Amino acid sequence: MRWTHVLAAGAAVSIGVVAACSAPSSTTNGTSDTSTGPVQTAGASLDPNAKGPAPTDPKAKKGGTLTISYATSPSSMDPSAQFYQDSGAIMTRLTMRSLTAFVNRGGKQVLVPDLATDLGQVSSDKLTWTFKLKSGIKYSDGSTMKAADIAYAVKRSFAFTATGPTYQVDYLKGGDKYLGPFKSGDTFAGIEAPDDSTVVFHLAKPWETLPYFTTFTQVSPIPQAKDTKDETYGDKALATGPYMIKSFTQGSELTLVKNPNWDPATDAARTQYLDGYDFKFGTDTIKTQQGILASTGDYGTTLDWDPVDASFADQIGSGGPKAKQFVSGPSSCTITVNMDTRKIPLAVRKALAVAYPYDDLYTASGLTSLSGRPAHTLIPPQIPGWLDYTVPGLTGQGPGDPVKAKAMLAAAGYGPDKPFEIKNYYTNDDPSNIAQTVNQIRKKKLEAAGFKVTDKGVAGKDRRKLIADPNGDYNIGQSPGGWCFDWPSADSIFPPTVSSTQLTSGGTNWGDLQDPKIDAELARIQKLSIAEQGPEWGKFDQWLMTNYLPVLPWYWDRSNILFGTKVHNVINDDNHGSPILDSIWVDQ
Amino acid sequence: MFIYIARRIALGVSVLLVTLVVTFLIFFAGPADPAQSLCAENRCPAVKLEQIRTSMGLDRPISVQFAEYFQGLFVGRDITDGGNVNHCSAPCLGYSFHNHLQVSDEVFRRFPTTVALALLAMVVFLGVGVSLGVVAATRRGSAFDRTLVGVSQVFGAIPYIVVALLFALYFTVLYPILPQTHPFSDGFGPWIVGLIAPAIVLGLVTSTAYVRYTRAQMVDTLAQDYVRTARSKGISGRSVIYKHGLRAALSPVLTILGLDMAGLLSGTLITEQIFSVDGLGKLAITALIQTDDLPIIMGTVLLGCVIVVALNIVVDIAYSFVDPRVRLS
Amino acid sequence: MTLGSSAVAAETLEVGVDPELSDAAESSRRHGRTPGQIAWDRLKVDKVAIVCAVIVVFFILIAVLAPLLVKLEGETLNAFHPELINRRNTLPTIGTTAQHWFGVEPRTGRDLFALWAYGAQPSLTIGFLAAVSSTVVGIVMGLLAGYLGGIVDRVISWVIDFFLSLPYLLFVFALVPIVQNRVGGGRILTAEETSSLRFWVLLIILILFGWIGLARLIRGEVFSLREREFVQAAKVIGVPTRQILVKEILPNLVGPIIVSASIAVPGYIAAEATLSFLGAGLVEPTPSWGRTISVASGGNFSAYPLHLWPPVLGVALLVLALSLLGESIRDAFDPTTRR
Repeated sequence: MRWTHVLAAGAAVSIGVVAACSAPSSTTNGTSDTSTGPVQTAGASLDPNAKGPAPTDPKAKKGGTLTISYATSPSSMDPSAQFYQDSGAIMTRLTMRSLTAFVNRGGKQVLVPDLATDLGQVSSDKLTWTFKLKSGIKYSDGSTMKAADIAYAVKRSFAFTATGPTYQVDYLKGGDKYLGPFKSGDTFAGIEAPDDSTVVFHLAKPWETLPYFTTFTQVSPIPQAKDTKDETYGDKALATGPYMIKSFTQGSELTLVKNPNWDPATDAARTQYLDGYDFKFGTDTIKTQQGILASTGDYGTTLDWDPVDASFADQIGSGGPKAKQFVSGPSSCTITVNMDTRKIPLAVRKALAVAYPYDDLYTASGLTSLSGRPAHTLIPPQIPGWLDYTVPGLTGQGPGDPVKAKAMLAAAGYGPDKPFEIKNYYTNDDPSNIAQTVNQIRKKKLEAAGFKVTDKGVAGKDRRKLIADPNGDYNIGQSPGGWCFDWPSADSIFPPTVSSTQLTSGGTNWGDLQDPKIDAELARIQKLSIAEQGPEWGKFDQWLMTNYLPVLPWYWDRSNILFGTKVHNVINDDNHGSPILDSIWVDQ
Repeated sequence: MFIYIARRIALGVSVLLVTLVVTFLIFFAGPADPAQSLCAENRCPAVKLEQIRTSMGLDRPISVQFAEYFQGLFVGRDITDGGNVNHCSAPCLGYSFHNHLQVSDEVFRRFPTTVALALLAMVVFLGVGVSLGVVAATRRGSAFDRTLVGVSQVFGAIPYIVVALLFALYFTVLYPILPQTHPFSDGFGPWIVGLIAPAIVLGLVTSTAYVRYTRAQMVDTLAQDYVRTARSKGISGRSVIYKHGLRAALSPVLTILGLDMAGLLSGTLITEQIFSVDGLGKLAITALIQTDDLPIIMGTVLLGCVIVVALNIVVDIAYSFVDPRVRLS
Repeated sequence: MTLGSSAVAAETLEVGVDPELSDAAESSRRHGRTPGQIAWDRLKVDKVAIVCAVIVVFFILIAVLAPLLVKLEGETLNAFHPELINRRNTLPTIGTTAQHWFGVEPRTGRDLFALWAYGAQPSLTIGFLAAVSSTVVGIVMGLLAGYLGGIVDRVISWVIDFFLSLPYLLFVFALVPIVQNRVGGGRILTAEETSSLRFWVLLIILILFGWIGLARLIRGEVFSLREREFVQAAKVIGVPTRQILVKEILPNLVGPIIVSASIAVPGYIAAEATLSFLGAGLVEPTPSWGRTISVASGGNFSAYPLHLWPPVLGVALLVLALSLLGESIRDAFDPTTRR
């Protein structure tokens, strides 16, 4: 998750690492795509027979170190606790192998077996998944990986659900009661390792997309004997990927060096060109981006994946003098404006959608066409089955129409003597002043449409708490301010955001919906096969927006990757919104 | 003499103890919620928050927490963190809520940077300030003297943030004449070179006060009888100025130096923030604004107070040797 | 002893009280006229003082006339002009124009002259209000400690020592939300309420840390004054303590008090700008030079320098003029100054 970007939008979005296997318009070195043209979709690809080694780029030079700068810092490098774009990209591409992995083939993300020999075998009742492991996989310390290490890692992930993902809690057998090996012991029915080369998942309900989940670092092996039982394990975690951690200092630096025990013959997904990676955290974005654009000294081999400051847009946009140093592509996130359907009637929500000043807020947030594309659906276009529909008024762009909104409000029974009151929280200590000015603009524009606006300013760190409370004294802008899919199927979007069980968990519900009709529809679609689910989710999206309108889609977020002139083969992973780190090589 | 020193130290210790209590109350009993800042984005339901608070020990009464902290400072304590028990020996400042590292390690990792910045700045402001002040005093009334006093007045009167900010923006970002700052982990060379720009600004702005102060002291001293006597005995002008005048003029300057260094060593917040220097001040501000990392805040505040109080005592005692009247008051 | 507006003082947010100033009162008594009259006569012919006074008056006029000037420009404060922003790079499409004298703010298109002119208001108000209030507190504490001596003196001296050992900026940072919580009654406020509340919170905190220098100075002065014949005589004939303090001692301290207050004003203005710059000061929609500087310098400032420079020049000139004026006032009160 790109915290800076999200804060800039004045809305806090949830979620982090994302996995996907469909990649429509991947942009490679030098062809940054900044047009607002139509986006195409592509089908999901699975290749259960992929074998290592991964093909290498014949032009690639070996050796050298890439410096990667990032304005924020991962709070830990623990594979069980991570659920973020930054640490996710680092671990899945460089240090941690899982049962399955994605590989980029001509701009398309393909799911291939990684530590497993195939993409898993499911039983006829769909409740048991069996993965056979490749033999001879070694950790960075030379010891041999066992199936029990993966089973342990999955159990361990239950202890880190506060920061990590929770899919395993919902789907694995007994997962709702298991709190991880430190509190609940080693006995857990959800996963077992009957021998050294077999991992078996036992499910509480069918889970068609499990092979996508098994790309997560929560499924990367951890030998129980080496566990420190807290997040400091990540500081020296045993690596299975092409690189391993030399040192990690939270808040400032992560250094990776080659893992001598990584065998390319077993890895169909990763390459190893560089001698190492040097991540710098907490860097000053403007300074770094200026340096990279000039590519003086070390900046020549530096890459920055923070959102590019809008003032550089003319230099790096298509046709700009520095366009070759910039790559952009979709991330996995749809940014939205959340509304409480329990407190705002549907007619008023529709008026709000018409009055909302999408464009003014977008620009006031410092966002440009580099940052995103106007969104009109909840599912982003790169997901298979995306339905390109439009609900009138919901285009994610335009200045807002106060006159029409006023008329709609009047028709719903609200007027000057009885205005509808919008209540929201906003961050009043954003150092860039963006959250504060965005709030003022929104207030003025909504008041022009006849709403009464009560805006409550709080510190950013307090706001996160307040907007996670579904029963707080406010009716728009509650968490989440958007959603990033976790794998290229909408079953990683909708059940997590609109099913009624989510309302109680705090901060992950769109519209504060609790509706049996929606739950029934979700359950119906989830029973279908992956291929059948796609179009059904597209229809569900349209049905939900037409009949419920829980959120206003605003924009589809885009990744920004800026790099020095000596950095080559930078490719955006369209379903993670981050560079494919292992494919990069540098001039020395 | 002994009684004076003892009283001075007792006073210092009492100030430190109250600071400890007040700081603890302000930060631990304040509105901050460290548990929230540990939650990934908004994915923390109330139950999870409660778990985090329990694991950090924040659910217990403030008096118990304080007693534990106090005990840790003097005899060390065991801290339970996520199922592990770690011993933290005295003086124990606890573990960071944010990255679970020992606060004392975190603080002392930054301390050399702050010390180096303060010392480099001191070299600049003593070198520039004292030498220019002496020259101005010896040429009192000349065009050089008046220009120097005028420039130092103007330069010193502009708000420091403006001077530091413009310097940083124009000389390290827009026209990168001076190198940017690097954390200590980037190696000694880049680290120390990166401190040049902030040290120059901090030193030059501080030196304006030293120019004027040294000049005033020097003018006074040169008018003293013993200097005149020395002169009349035929000792060369230069020798009089440096042997007799400077020595006498410098002792009050040293007093101010002691107090200034106390201020600088306890964290140069503005300078560190503007130049992004990875020192104590930046550590504290980050902990305060972004992460609500109470143990880090406590640690930096306490270390800063200890430095200020200790250097104050040293200065007072040193001064009492120079000027015996102080002891009697 | 603190050093005027040196970097160290800025780092610790101390408001300057000059070390050289303590002799002023004592020696000026020997003249026939009151020290105030002498000082005034001297100031009237001090060219630097006059220039500085003109600059200060200029900024006061800007602040007072801000609504009128902005109206003259044809603008209102905090009106957004998205149409003046290039959506490709979020920078303004215009520079200085007849409608927007200082251009408009990047991203939002707010008129920068309006932000600048209105921004002078809180700076000056906080500067003068805090100086007056902290001077009053400083006088009272200094008089009490110096005249009563004994346990009162010990307590006050201890408090002074205590405040001097605190890392000011960190404490101010921490105190702002706490004081705001207390004053605001713990409930969550709207943007406008928070903004005006923050103004008073800032003022309170600046006063809280600002009285110390003067209190120490007054205490020292009173120590020596109370042993003098006229005070002793008043004591002997049974004049009440309050009357001795107000009628006998205070008039002798007018010089140092005026000097200290005049040096404090620019100190507070700089402190407000510094705190707003660091994010612990004034919040939207109240305009503030410090915050504008912070926002403009936080981005790519060279892309639209009009955003950064007016508030930078504003605060630098105003503080410079007030400081030099303060020094002129000090010189005017100082009998040893050669003219």
